[in-house]
Amino acid sequence: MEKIAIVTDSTADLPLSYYEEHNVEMVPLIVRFGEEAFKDWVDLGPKKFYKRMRGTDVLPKTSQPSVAEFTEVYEKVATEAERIVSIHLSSELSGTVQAAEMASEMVDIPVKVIDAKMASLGTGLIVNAAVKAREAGLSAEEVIETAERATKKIKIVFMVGTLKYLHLGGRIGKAQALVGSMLSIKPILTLEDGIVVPYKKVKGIKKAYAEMKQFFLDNLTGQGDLHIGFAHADCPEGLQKLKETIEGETAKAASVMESEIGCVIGTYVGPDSFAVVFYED
Amino acid sequence: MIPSISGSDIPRLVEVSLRALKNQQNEINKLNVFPVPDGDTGTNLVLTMQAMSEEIAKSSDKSMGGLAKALTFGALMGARGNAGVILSQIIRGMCETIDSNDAVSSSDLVEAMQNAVKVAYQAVRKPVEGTMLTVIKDATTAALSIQKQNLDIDVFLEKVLSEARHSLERTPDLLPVLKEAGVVDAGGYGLVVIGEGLLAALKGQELQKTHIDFVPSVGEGEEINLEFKYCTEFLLRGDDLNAEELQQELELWGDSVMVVGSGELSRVHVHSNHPGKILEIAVDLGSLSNVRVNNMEEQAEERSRMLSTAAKKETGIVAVASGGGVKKILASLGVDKIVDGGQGMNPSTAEILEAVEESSADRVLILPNNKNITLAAQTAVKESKKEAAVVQSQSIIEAFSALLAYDPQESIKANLEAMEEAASGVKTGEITLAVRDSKSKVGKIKKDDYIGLFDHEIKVVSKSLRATAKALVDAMLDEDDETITLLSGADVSIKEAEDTKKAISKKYPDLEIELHAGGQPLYHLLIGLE
Repeated sequence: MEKIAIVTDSTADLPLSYYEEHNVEMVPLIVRFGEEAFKDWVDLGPKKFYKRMRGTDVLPKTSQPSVAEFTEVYEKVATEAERIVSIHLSSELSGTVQAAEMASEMVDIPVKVIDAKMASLGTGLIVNAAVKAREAGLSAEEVIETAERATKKIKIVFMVGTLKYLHLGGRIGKAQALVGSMLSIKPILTLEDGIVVPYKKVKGIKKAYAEMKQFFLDNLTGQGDLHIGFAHADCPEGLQKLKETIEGETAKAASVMESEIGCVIGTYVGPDSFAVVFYED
Repeated sequence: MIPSISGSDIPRLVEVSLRALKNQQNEINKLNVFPVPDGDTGTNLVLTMQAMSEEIAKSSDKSMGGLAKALTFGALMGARGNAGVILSQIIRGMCETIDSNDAVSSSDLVEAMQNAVKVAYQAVRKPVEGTMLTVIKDATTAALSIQKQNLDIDVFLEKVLSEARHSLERTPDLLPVLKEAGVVDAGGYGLVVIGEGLLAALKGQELQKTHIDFVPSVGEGEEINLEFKYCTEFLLRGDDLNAEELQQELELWGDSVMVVGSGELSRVHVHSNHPGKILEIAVDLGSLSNVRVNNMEEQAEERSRMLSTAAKKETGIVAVASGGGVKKILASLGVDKIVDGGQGMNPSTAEILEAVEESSADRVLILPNNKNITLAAQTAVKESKKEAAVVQSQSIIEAFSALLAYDPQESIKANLEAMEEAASGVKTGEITLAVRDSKSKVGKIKKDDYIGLFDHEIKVVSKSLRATAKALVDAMLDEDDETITLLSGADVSIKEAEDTKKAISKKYPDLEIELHAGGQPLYHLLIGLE
């Protein structure tokens, strides 16, 4: 049986303990406040990050891992594995996939780089799908197939506290960032083919939950096991209410994961944001 | 599988790249903000490359070496603008190392690129990162990292270009002026297009379109204020020209100074306010030709005009409103033009029509925000040359909700449907002062009593604003309502408004309440409930 290594990056927003428990290699992206640089999740966790973000007008900046960081990790795992499956943040949002691909050409071990076309726990769920497939003793091809299937099926819907960060970070256009000065307007967004797309804008948080639930129900097919992930950016209460809103469906899920949105994704969505990701397989 | 490039490939490579560049010339011009937003980078790169193409057509020596010389010479002769001169130096650098080879493999190309980086950086006195220099440098670094794999040249180029594109996308992070303008570097973009043209040509294809999609934003009434106004360029022939000395002398008179070429033939490029002086200095050293002086201020204004037409929204919004706070909120929600008016102050058809015509969009939706204004708005629609329509909004509160569903990229029809549906989901309550004594269903009204209106009916009469507001919310409230929007009028103090808000939120702790100083006349308080 071929030994398979699974690699992802920090924007999968899985807690560090996950990587250890499930033997997954994580390559961190970098977040910067001025001159200070931190490895996402490794040097700076979500709690401290949002505290800092709320306390400053200076926008943090992020950067993707270098090709060399990927080759290093690939070479390290190559001592124990014969194949690598490397799952990463949407190529539409970051050059991480590109760096991984370049690195994959420079190492001797075969590497399959998968563009998750997702962000945050969306990538995390796909990583988890690969992990479960590996634990079930599936072949490398089957592990890859499982992850790719999840990539095709997975959906995300998220609410941001403000569109400011997505706009300033260049992830949505000026026209799409129109929300005005009214605080009760809640922007709800999704990812389509890895690109941030506004879904609805509603007034009032309760409507926001209702719209997110609607998105969720509209995208359920009832085919296969349901896997759900919840993540929040310094907004546990908001996430809790969202969970309650779709409690009925969550009860039927084969797996439910929960995490926080890390520094790099947090740079673009800002605090007071939360997301639900899901797929059926 | 294309293992290498031979001399006979060169004319076609240049031709396809040139065509690709021409196709995107305008896009590149629009991106041009650095060092001067004169919007000519695309044109300059095309002209530079055109000269290269002409020179190789003329060349009788069709060997790789002969063509390399022709390319270098053509680029030098034809180089225009900053980007053109830098391109000519990249070409020169590459040609220097490949001129003795018959076929160029991927590892020859790596060597050529390394030399190109060296030569191009040397040509610019103070290299600025975030420009085409950075793009060629990053691409070369990527090329080096895959050199040992001995890839076929097409596969190799594909990978190098992928990094070049990423490098281009990073240029706004390196050069703040690009970030502010919301663009990537124009010269860098041109370089990527040329590279992609080369790759397409190698594969026997044409380049369709480079897929970096950046729409430059144009600052409202962007002020164009250039330190140096004239771009001065020429060829200088002499014996043993000292480029370094000339460069230093010219720098006293301007910036973006580049002197490139050889001791016998140099190309000079300067931005200055004294083009005459520049030519005087040069004419003492040798003979001038191809002299060109451009007024960059005019070019920059032209670029700005071009962009503001390009920045048009597909569907714009004209709204009728009064009150400073109300107008501010409307503008923040995407309204382009506001016509003064409201209850008791109906604007004329002409005023609405004027706003529709002045909107930057070709298609316009009008939010009358009052039943009495709908007709004037509909007449304006009929008279307008633009495609226009009226959203049936009967209050400012409805306008806010309608605007949440507004999408500037969508058609009139789609917007109309979504916006009217959104507007119908909100209830509007109005509080005003009685102007005289009268009677109502809810009792007698004394002059200066507050009256609360909902559904065109008086629901509350009271001496206090707070009590009227609470009772009116009571009358309006349904069980599925979640949010209350309060807009305080021009005659209401901040404290009064805050107290009213507090009173309502105390009574309805589950509702989300938001208060804005609307500043509207007539209505002391507008209440939105949904």
